[in-house]
Amino acid sequence: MVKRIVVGAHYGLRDWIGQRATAVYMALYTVIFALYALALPEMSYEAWSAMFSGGFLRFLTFLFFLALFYHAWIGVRDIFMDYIKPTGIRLGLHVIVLFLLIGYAGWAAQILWRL
Amino acid sequence: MPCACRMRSNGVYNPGCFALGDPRLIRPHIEGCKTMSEATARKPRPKFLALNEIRLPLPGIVSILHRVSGAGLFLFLPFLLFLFDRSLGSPESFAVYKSVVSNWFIKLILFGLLWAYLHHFCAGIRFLLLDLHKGLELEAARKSSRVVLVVSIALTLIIGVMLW
Repeated sequence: MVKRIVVGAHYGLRDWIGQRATAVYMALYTVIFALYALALPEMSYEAWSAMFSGGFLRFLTFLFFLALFYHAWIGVRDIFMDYIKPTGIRLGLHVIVLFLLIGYAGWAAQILWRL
Repeated sequence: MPCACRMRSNGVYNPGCFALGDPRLIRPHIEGCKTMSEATARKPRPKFLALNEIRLPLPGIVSILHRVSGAGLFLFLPFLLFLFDRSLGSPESFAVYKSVVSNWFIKLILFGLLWAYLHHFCAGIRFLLLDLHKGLELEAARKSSRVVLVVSIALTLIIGVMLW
């Protein structure tokens, strides 16, 4: 049997950059969203859903969700890498988190494209 | 006993070597190179862990709160997505959303999540700047961590009161 180390740092740089790139995008989106929200005449269903049915903000919002889920994946993975030492449990948790986040991405797409 | 280190290989006198009788030697009656400080360095260092006196420095507090807020936001993602879903579903589901967020306990949770988001936001910008080697000096790092804590709490109060 070939002994392989199932954890390591060889995939680190891509995720390191990904974490920061998604962070920058989400920070910019937060400002854009705040400006849109401040321009809302009232917090009603009509105004709120009209805001997101505009193609531009819907596109940006979906991108925000994708960035958020990728960012969350890296962050949660790092937390597990720091505190969960048994490899089996850690990998199990990784799979659960990945499945959850992929599911959330589908949910976010459904919320935005049913408008 | 001749001291092996008295002369370096190039013949220069080694000032780190002590003559017989030098009080800095552990055993001054024997000529050698071992000084008091060298010997004590090998002993296990005493531990001083007064847990009530150890304090995480400000940048450390910002760092651990960055992790805590991120973990909290992740754990509440399904709840936040549920609220977003209800708010955009239909006029009826919007009413459901309204009634959920008008509960004072839910408001309290959302207030906490708002702080978590804003702290993660502010601390994240600080870490991005640190990645760019901006504000790495001790004083600047302490100052920026204080700014992160104050600004995120202030923004939480302002936005939280606006939305309450």
